[in-house]
Amino acid sequence: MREALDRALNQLLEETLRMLSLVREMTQEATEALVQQDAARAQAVIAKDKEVDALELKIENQAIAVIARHQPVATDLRLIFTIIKALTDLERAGDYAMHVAEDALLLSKEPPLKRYVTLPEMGRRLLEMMDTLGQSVAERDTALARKVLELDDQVDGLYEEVTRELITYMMEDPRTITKALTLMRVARSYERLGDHLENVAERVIYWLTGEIYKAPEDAY
Amino acid sequence: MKELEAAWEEALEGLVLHRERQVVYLNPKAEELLQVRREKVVGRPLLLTLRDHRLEALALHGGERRLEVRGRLLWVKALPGRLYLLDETELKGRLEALEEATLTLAHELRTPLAGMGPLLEALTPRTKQEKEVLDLLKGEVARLARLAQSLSFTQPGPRRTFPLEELWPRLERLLHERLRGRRVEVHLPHTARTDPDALFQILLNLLDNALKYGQDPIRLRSRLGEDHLHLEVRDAGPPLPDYETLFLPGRRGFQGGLGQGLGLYLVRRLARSLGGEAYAGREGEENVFGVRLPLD
Repeated sequence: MREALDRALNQLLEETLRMLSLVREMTQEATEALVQQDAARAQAVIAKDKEVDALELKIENQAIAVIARHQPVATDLRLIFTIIKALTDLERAGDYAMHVAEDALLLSKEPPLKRYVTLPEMGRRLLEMMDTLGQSVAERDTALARKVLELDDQVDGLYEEVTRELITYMMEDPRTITKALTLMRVARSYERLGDHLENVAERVIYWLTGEIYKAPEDAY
Repeated sequence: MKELEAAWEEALEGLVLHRERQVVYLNPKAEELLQVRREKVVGRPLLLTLRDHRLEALALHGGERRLEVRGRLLWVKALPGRLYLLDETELKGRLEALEEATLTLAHELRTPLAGMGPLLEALTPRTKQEKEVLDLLKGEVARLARLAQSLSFTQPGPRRTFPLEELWPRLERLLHERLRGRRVEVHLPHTARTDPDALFQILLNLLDNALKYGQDPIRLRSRLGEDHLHLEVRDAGPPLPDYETLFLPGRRGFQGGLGQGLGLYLVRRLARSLGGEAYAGREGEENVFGVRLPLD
């Protein structure tokens, strides 16, 4: 009985990691589409979002089936709830990667406002967040999950940097407003994507320690 | 067999062994590349170690692919139950640095070289010896100018539809000294839609190599593949030990050649900029060097 439950839980974890990996690929491809003004790549990312949505539904059904069949308790139950909650966040994260791709598609039609430096840096930090998150899940390591929260602070810092920079552009030359606003939306999508990953990391800490953990700035 | 195991522990290539979707073994290099600790993942599901759906798909279905994994560029080869990981991050970095240095250098060289040609034309030699020296200089300057131009080539120019035959007279004019007494067969019946200058540069480099290192007869030909147009230079030279490394900068297929070993590297770069790929191999009694370009 225990063996069957372990197998089912491992399978759930695997599927969730697969979903995280898909979101990671979307984020990476969307960033590259943005920097290289590659419309075809952006479209490929937009198409991928359906896969993430389908995976969410599949994992959720599996999780419910595990509860019904095995009536898990303690850590096992916490893991299942962590996964169910994480699914929503990962699905939203995928949506934000898709939004970046949609804006990259818009921006690919015209010459860029400037050479993008901070935006791809945000993208890179998000990839690092997802790598660390995956590792923390695979190795059941809370220290790594906490590192994800730190990385999110860096993403937030970069978001502020981009915003300030774009406002300067708009003030200097109103003709840049349309493009700058689109870029602002891209930065916002990255920032929100990071927040969803942060939520997942908090859930992972809950699963491993049983303590509800909230990043300091959220705890008001 | 113990020795073999010990050897894998020290290998520079990562290795993951798996059975029924479970990790059976991974060596320290794989630990490093995949950022996992072996004691945490051995005996557990494969995806927990790989944490990448593309890697997992490769491991389960087999094949070879270049993948960016955890910020590193890996060349991944999957056989049943085995996954080999080769780190190419540094190679990629080196190529990028080389690319940048090349572009700057080519740019710096082009302007003075462009001025030297007309200056040499303005000189009138007084003796036969002076004429010989001057001709030699003109030839060398022209060669350098061509090299600088092909090195600074990054973005293809405008595309147009043209019969491939059109390229041959230009090639013949440029190479005519070296074509004398050689057996070169040309068969270019197709039309292409691409940047003619880039394609010209590709064929020039391929022919130049064949004339330098290959053996007659040399055959320049085009053929239609399933969804690609192939342009190939074939020669009857002896088989080469490794074809793929010839495309790396600074590699020459023959010891004692006089080139810089950039010809095929440039061919590949140009072919990729046109959305295609360069390839080389052995077919029958011939060495084949070619490019495939997407049909529009």
